[in-house]
Amino acid sequence: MDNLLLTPNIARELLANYEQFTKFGKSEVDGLNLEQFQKLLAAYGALYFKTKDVSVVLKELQELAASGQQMLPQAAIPNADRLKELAEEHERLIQEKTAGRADEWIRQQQAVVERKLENVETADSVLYEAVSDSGTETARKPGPSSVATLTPEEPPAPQDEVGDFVKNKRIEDLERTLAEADIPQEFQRETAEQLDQVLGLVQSEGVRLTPEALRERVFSIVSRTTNQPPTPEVVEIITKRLSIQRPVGAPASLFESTPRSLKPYIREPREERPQTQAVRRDSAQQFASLALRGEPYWRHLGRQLLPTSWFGRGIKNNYLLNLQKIKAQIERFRAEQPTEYARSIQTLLAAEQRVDELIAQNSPESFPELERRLDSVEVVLPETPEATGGLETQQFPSQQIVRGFLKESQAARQNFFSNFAIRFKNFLINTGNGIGRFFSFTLPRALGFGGRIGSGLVASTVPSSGGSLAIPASRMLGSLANLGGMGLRGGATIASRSLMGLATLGGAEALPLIAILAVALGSVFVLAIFVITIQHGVFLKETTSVGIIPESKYIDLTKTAEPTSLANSALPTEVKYTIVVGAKEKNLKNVRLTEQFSAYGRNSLPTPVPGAHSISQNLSFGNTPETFVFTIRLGPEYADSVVTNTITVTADVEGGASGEKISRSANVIIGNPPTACFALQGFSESEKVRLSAQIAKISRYSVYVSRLCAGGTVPVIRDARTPGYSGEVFYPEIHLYMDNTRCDPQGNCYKPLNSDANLYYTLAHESGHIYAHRNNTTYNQFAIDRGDEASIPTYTLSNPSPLEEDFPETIAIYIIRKEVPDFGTYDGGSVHIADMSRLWPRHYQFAHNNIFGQQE
Amino acid sequence: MENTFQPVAQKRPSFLQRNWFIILLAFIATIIVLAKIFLTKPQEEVVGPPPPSAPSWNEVTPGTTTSEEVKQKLGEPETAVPEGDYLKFLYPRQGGGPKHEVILEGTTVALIKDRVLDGNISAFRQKYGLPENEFWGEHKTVGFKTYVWPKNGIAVVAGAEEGIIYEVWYFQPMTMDQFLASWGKGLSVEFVPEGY
Repeated sequence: MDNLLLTPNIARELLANYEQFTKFGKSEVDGLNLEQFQKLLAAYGALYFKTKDVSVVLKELQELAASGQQMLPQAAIPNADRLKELAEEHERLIQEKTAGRADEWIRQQQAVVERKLENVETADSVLYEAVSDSGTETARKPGPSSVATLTPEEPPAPQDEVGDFVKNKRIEDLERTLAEADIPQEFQRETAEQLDQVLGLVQSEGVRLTPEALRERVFSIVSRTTNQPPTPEVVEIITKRLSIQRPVGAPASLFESTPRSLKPYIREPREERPQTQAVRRDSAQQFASLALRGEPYWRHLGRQLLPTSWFGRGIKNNYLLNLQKIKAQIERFRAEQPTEYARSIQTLLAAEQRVDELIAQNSPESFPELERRLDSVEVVLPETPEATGGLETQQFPSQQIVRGFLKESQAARQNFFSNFAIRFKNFLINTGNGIGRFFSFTLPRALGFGGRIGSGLVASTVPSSGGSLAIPASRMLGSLANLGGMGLRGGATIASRSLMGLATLGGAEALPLIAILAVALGSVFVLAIFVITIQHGVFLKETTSVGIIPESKYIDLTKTAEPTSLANSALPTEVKYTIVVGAKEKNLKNVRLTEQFSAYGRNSLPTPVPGAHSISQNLSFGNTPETFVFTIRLGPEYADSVVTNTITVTADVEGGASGEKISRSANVIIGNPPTACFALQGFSESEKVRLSAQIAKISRYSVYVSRLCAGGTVPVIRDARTPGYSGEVFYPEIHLYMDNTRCDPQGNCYKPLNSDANLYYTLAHESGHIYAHRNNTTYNQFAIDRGDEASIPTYTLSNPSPLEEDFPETIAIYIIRKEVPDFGTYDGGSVHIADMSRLWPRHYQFAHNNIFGQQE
Repeated sequence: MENTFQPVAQKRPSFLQRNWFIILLAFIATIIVLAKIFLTKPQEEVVGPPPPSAPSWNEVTPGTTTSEEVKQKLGEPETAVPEGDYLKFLYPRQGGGPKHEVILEGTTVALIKDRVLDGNISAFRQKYGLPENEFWGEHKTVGFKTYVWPKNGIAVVAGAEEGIIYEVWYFQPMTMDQFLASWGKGLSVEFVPEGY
């Protein structure tokens, strides 16, 4: 509100709107009736012109519109805050209306203005404009009455001849345009002049009008000058011609003698030093991201100070998780309420795009921008039979989330400890003038060396840090150690005497040297922790959970095999599978069951045949889950193999989506199936069984595996960290983050690597990285052969993915495409990757010919 | 006889007497600081050998060739993409694959990325000696490192295992610090994973 300005465009809008009442007899403009609008004018008058006399305000506005000047609010007026709030909201309405904002938003903003207007106590003293039927002013009196007819004043005539000539040429052009639109000749000159005046001002002020806004102005001016509203065709002809002759928003003509550089509708930002702006922005972002963490900052800070956090453990926040949730909610909204989605499509797409960017950046930067975008999204549901009356407004779910975050952010700001912690952190990180000063002056004082001389002495041994954080800390440690060492060695040496002397100066005669040193070392220790913490970047380190295949919200499915491992000598034998299916949250109808058996070994194996079993058509929520058991018989031919059974349950959710799906696999290891060069480390027995099954599947691609393993063993290590994704290569090791968690759009959280399909994909993808490490030439050839074909979109961290991820992704998709035909994509959808050869032919051909030796 | 002896009040040592040592230290420190300020000789400029000239790629030399000259020598770029403060010209690679990049700062060429996709880094080692340093950068997750000869204006992205070259960068000769502050901003000595 501090930068409130009354600009010529606002003045013109006010005048034009007022004319809608006076000239065209409208009963309502921008959601306000005549009385309210006059009150609004009086409010503007009180704020800018020290008057509540509407006729005076109108004259002032005309002068302002013609002059191109801007007005500041009066310094001291009663009721100023409310007036300013009203003016601000009204200006916002005008701005957004000109920019072509959605009708829903405009309606809501009109309501806001109306509410603000009610709060303004000007009605009693407003001098309303009154005119007689003949149009001459007869009286002005407090209270609503009839309205004035406006006659806009002519702008001051240009003084320079060139200006006159150019203006006349412009007006002649406009007259020709009006003639083409069949405007009667007697009105052409006046209409052209008024059009020229409005368009000239708009252009010179750099305002970009939407076609609708231009049409509106043409309609208004032609109506005024011809005393009758033009037909839409006439408006269209004039608007089109104007768009060609004088594209609105383009720079003013070069012939203009004195173009102005005003920026109406855009408040001049307060002049602020870039550094201050950066600090302010940083703080805002930190408060926002703090709110997103869902925990008090002191607790977060405390955990980060633990030594475990230096190595990436113990750090967890929900920043990206929440972004994922926002994204998922937008997607859900799109799917479930397409009509409402379409109404706010621009804002939602912008918000969605921003969320994607933020997820890709894995950084809380620009979060306020996201807040701003989402904050403006509101959905008005149409009247429904269920609705008791009128329109029902429902907040968009993501907006609720964002508002929640904002609330928390506000709370964080008001929390002393959060405030202190963030400011302290800023102080430390702001190396230019923060930590440098801190180390060279503040620290010695804090160490209790007694004041000015002490700080001077230590400062001379500890240079200002400048941009480095590590050097001052080490030097500080060194210099303090020297001081301490000297003191301890001598006791009566000059150094110790000087220290004692300093202590005396500071009034701490009884303070023993050892206490000083203890305080000093303690302070250095704390500071060292801060420095190390900052260096390790854990202050704002973000983690996330990006998974691959989401779980079902409505179907519960477990599956076990017994036994899970067998010696070759145990064959032939029978394996028993137990499957439990239940309904979660809602009843399930039309429940279907599909099963896929596969066996992987050193040789090609027959597909095991399961015994008979079936499942009920309907499952009720709350009832005991349905359990069924069946067996398969394995003969001696299955020696040294892995038998995998994948069961998929599909059902229609009562009152919800149809085709809800969930899959589970169970593996049985027989003897010693091929493990290629993968060496499992740190996994539980059950995890080993599952991994062995995936390795056996990958090992079917003999050409690939032989080239992969030519470089030696590939250790596959169970990593307890949760960096936000499921696997990573620290060459030559593959690290699998088995405990990584992901939440699906419905808010169900799960561990992706608990799914065999995800484990299969992740292992295949990571093996692709190892393959590239060991086959640089193939990687380069892939860069050539892939050409301009887009990267495969199933890599979930970015789209398009970089070459170094697209290569292993190609390998992974080639390997898994048959067993896992539908796979998640970057944007949350899924793609039938079994169609790899059609979808990404270059990728497929390269993998087929150059990596897998044409093995399908 | 009246005892006229009056006990003499013991005189308290003055501030100077009590703190003479501290004052002495402060005085010496002041002298040292002033001496440091006023008596230090300005460093003489050491004139070293002239820096090696910037390497050229297809007659395009970083720091010298202008955008117009680039167009004369290489033709119109397939695409011109603004990238931060720079303008990037993309030229197709003979044989396909990722395009060569000519990056302009203002109107002058600042960096060239030649998508070689062939050859071995050993040739560069023979010509320029051991690289001043090697870093993890783009393509690190598939085992490619960036080997830098900043004083020669050369960096090579090549496989750490086999040494197969992915691309060669040409830029104006500079110190390693300057390189890391400019073209080497995204490089790191430690392997820092950024994805799976």
